[in-house]
Amino acid sequence: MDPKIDYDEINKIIKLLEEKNLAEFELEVEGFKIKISRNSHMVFAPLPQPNHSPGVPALQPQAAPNPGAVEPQPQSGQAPFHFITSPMVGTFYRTPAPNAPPFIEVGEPVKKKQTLCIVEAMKLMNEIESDVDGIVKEIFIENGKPVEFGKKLFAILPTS
Amino acid sequence: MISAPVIHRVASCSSTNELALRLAGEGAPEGTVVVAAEQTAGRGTKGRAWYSARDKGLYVSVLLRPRPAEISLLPLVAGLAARDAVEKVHGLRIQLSWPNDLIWEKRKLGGILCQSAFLGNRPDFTILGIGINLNYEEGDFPQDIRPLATSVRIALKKNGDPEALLAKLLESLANWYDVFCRGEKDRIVRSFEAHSAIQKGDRIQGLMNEQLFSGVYQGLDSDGGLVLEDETGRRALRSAEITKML
Repeated sequence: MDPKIDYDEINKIIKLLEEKNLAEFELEVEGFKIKISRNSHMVFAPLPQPNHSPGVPALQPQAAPNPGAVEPQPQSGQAPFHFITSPMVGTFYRTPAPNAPPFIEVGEPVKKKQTLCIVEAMKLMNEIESDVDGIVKEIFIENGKPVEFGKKLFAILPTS
Repeated sequence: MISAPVIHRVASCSSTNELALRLAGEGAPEGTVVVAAEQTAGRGTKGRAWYSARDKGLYVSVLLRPRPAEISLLPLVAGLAARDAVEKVHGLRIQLSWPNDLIWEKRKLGGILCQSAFLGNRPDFTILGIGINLNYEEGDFPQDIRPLATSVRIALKKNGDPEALLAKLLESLANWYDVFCRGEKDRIVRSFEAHSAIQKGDRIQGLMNEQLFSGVYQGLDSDGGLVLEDETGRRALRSAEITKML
């Protein structure tokens, strides 16, 4: 199985991300997975080949235009990131008080039970704690902006 | 359900919420109550101070561990319970300013600061911090809040009864918390509307995400959000502060 990469198709996807101002694109079909993020990296990862589909090509990590930024991939079947979502409609705060430093920044390690942010609704200040140990990979909402129920707030790469 | 509250009494603390937060972190059960005769750093919402002179007010925090994941009605629950208690013990007709300030004769008699912690998406605990002005004379309040604040003593020309008020508050809170746990959201919302300081059709102004807004108050939605109508239509606000009636 010799993986063939259609760079024209990839370029189209990249242009689409730019046009639509999307941060991330992920496609997974049997035996093939592509993930493109506009932040800093582009990831291709081979998936385990099921025995009954020997003809499906697998793209190799070195085929990525930016192979230096290949992310660690999880084991088969696992999502790479653990997402913390908003438990309610409210306002998202990254700091404990207006002029205080943020609870956490992208790239920093986080421990289980460590506070990540506050979601305020009806003057109820809800401190959202991480339920995993890991590294904060992305913060999806700006400080002081409204959030909806279930909206992704943080992507954490679990370390345990 | 709060069956038998465990009451921690302290002469002084920075804030009863802070003490309750610590107890919650140490695994204290639902129904744990902290009462202080004075708070040296009493807090309100938005990082504001809550003036808390010794023996002049009731400063209390109650720890809950709610099972329902949707907890945003708890500030209304706290407001309703505090309102009931002041009315039953001191006979004052208290109104509620959304979401939960206690208002007597257009001045603030009590305030509530609710804090909660979620482990991921799972609610861990909620603390209802309630401050009620009991024995303040007008001159006891700091100058900047004097025109806005009032107390049981100012209203009745005699001191309030902190012990009776605490007992009634915990009883009333247990009742309203049962209503909340049974999922009777509509009863909470309708009771709040019945005691609201503003009435449907009133024009109000407020702050939301540091932006001024104005519109016509249309009651609360089923989740306790403030329904406002303006030139863009109707919307329910969850994170806003009413600053004045127009």
